[in-house]
Amino acid sequence: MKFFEDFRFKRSLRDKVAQSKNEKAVMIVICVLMSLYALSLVVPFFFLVINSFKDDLEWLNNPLGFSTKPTIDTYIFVFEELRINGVGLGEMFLNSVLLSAGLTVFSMALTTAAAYVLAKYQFKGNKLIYSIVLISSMFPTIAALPATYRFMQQTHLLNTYIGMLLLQGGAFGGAFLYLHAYFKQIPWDYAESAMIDGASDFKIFVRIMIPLAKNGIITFTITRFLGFWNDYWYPSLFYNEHPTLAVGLSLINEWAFHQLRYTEMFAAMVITIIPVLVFYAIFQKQLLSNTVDGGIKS
Amino acid sequence: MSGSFTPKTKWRKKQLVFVWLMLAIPILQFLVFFVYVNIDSFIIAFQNFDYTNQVTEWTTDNFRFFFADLTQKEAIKTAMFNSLLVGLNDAVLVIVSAMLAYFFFKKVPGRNIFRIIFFLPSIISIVIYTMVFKYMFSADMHGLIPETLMAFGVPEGDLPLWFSDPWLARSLILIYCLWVGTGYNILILGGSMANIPSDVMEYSKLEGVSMFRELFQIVIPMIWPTISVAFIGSISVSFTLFMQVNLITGGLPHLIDGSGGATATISFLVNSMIGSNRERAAAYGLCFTAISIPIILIARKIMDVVNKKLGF
Amino acid sequence: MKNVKGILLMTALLSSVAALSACGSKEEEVQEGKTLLNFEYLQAGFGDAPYQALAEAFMAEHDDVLVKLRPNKDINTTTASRLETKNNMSDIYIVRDVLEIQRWAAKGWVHDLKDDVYSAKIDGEETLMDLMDEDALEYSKVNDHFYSVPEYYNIDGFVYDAALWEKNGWEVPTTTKELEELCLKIKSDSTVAPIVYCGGPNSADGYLYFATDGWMTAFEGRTNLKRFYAFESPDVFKPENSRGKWHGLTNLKTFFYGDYVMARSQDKDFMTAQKDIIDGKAAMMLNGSWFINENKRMLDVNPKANMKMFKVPEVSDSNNVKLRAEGYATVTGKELICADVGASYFIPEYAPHRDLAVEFLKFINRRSSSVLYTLNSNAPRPLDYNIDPTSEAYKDMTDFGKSVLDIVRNNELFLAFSKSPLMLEGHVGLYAKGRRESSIYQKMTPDEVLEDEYNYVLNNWDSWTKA
Repeated sequence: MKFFEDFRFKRSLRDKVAQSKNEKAVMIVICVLMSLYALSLVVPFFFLVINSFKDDLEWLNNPLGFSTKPTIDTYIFVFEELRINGVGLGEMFLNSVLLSAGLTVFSMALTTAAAYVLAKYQFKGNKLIYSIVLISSMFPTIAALPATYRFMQQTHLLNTYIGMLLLQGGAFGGAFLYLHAYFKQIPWDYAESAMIDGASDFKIFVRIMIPLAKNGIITFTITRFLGFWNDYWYPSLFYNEHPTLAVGLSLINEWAFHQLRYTEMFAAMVITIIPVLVFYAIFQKQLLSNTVDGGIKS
Repeated sequence: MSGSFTPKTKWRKKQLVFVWLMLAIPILQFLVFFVYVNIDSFIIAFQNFDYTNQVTEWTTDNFRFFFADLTQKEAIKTAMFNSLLVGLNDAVLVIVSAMLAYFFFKKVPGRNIFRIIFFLPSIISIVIYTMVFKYMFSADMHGLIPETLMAFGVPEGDLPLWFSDPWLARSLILIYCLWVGTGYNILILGGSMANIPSDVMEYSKLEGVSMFRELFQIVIPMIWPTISVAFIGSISVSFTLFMQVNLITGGLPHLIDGSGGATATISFLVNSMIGSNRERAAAYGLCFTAISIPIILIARKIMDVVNKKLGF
Repeated sequence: MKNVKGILLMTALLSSVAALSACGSKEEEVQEGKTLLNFEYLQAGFGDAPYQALAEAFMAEHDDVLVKLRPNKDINTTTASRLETKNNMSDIYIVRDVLEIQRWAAKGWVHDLKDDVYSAKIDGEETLMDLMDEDALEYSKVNDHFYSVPEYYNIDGFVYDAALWEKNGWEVPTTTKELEELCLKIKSDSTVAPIVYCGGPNSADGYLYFATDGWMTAFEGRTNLKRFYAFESPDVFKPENSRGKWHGLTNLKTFFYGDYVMARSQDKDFMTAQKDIIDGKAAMMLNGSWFINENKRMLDVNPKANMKMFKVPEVSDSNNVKLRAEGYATVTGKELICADVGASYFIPEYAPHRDLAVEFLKFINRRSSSVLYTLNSNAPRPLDYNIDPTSEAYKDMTDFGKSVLDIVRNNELFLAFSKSPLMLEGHVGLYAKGRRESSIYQKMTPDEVLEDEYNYVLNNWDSWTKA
């Protein structure tokens, strides 16, 4: 009996060891695959950078190697002289900053306000509004662009800052659903004592509720800012008189194509990537908060 | 105790004022930029500007043209086909990413660096990423891929025509979606996996469950709600994918009957009509939205059934 | 705390760059006392040179005016919106598509130039109607109004390096038979590819329609083409009435989708293909009169290249006899080539400085201004002005420009346009479903293409023409 149990135990142990050896092999294969994939995501930028230090004609002859006579003339050109339709990179950067910051603040304010009120207050129409919001997010609207454009034209909101705020400052998105659920499960006890002391609803919202939801709000703010910063389609349609970096880059692309000045374009691309990478480095934790974090449970 | 506040009568009015003040702008914005705009789309779709008589007239012509073009030209059929390809591609992406996310979850070496790199496409603008992707494949831009092929002796004339062969061009778009989407999905699905109750994973470890079984019989079913949301998202993506097509191929190459682009998706088709014929673009968009509604409803139903079966 | 540091760092970074950008951007100052005239045009092949020259010449005569050039890559998409909202409008525009101008005019956004410009004295006693070519007048006319002034004739053909050809003893072909023989000779004698084109993205589909349309035009003759463009009945699309298109598509297959073409042409973009011509890797390429301006940088690096253009050689049979359609007729007896009004000027009805814009437009159409324009662009204008070989202006032109003008002088120009509402509403054009070069590329035969076109037109004619 004991011999038999021993045997089974040893065999299952051997199986387990074999299994974990197999699993180790699988892990290594996966690691290699992921390394290759990660490399593929990064390698194009490596070439972008080394090519940005070449003169155009050198790049035509030597597209993939390091430069034999590296130059920063490309960067100097981009900073000092590059103007697309009269707008330079610095102005595009400013447009991006103003637009993204304004849109983020505006839309997050609306989202938080709407999520809070719909979560905590019972009033006629609360459920109706919430259901309408849910249903409207279910179906893709493909046809809305012509009507949107016409509306922006007729109200003279086209190419205006206010116009962009109103157009893109929608309160009801992913952040809304999350914050709504979050506020809903906050107990009202905190507020009750403040109310007894005579605090107004608004004060409760600002002083008590927002700090409680701080983490979620901050995360969404950062993610939204990045989304607005990188947005190309809406600014190119509705705000093209004040080109942002994303819009400007595609204009620079066309210009470079016609003028055969690709390395200057590479330099411009590198320049626009740097602030984003800095942003990523600083706010990495918040941006990656929804993702797997190396196995440490959050 | 309770989650929401049931106000006493004398504070009721003040409460309501506060509530509606807070909701005023969000609701107004929604009414204008969602409700009004979609109703207006409906109206525009039934209009046409008559250039000979220089008036705007009411007509169902735009919809008639949709059906005429659907049967007589390749453009609409191809757009729907391409959108289907995109949707399927995305669904496959979700499955593959889930499997790879499992290994992340099982602490594959290097995951900390991978994590940072996989998220890059979400950080860097799509304009840059598509440009960089395009250049990799373009022989004119001395991209990595043609140059490598030529270094291996492939003559220039035999290089794949990435941009002018319809199927190669389509695969460019699909490859791009896989390339930028895999990393992101791995991270998100992995995040979902991290929330699996620890006692489930303990059980699995104690029982000596193999990786294969653990992945398919435990982990994936446990994160099914997230996966089903991603699947529904694939359908949405297939109807709205636009920027990638616009930036990588511009809808080209041309279709065999010259009626449109071979890589156009539904959204690209509609958006490219807006400049030339706003009314017809609205009508086409409405037709496609109408087509999307039953598809999405059925898909949601299926996901609900599966979720229930799995005990969610 | 890390968050606060992060936010502070970000703010510091952003504000410092914002400060830098404020230094970097230079605002153009409008000088005191001068009226500003905004001149907006498509920034493309010609570059800014011709418009710069015109602006400077105008300012030399009017020192109280500042003409500000506003080159705009997106002019085709931004203009409609600006006209509709009357916001940020320029005073005078150049856009590609005259049909767009006519559509905007139907909405009341475009100034009628009939009295102000067309009937006004432009050069001495002559009005614009006196100066302009008949066809171009007809082209710009809508009922009894004129909403645009044609900027130039787009003359197209095969661009080649005359220095390379001379060295190799290659002669300019005048028929398709000669072209074929030349291609064979080039292939056997050298490593140069006979033909290259730019079938890749953003490259106007290789300009292949220059060839197909050119072959069709020379074959059909003026009378047949005029009847076609009247679009009176679907019969104009009947395959038996479309022999010109048939020859065009058949020769397209022979010359562009066969062995005579440089490898990978189907995928090349236009800058790469143009570079191949200048570098001597290919012998000829379909292109237009903007070639020199567009490739300035490459030509500077290759000073030995001597670029010229020859017209699309006419369709001939195996005995080298030029083929002609039934009912072929021209006005001058010269051979017919396909010309195109490349772009047109217009003035918005509510332009901020409309009267000044009118003055500028009148100035642009003087003989001396047209000469200046052609000198700077190598493109001819549809007006009467002296640029024949005896003139001073001709001597100043580049060899390329001279070859373009020679083509214009030695042939009869056919301007393709239609006043039919079918074309204005976008139902038909030369082809009904879309350009058909891609059909041939994807292995349809010319007969199948023509059949397909006719069936499509026949099925939809009634719904297009109902009142």
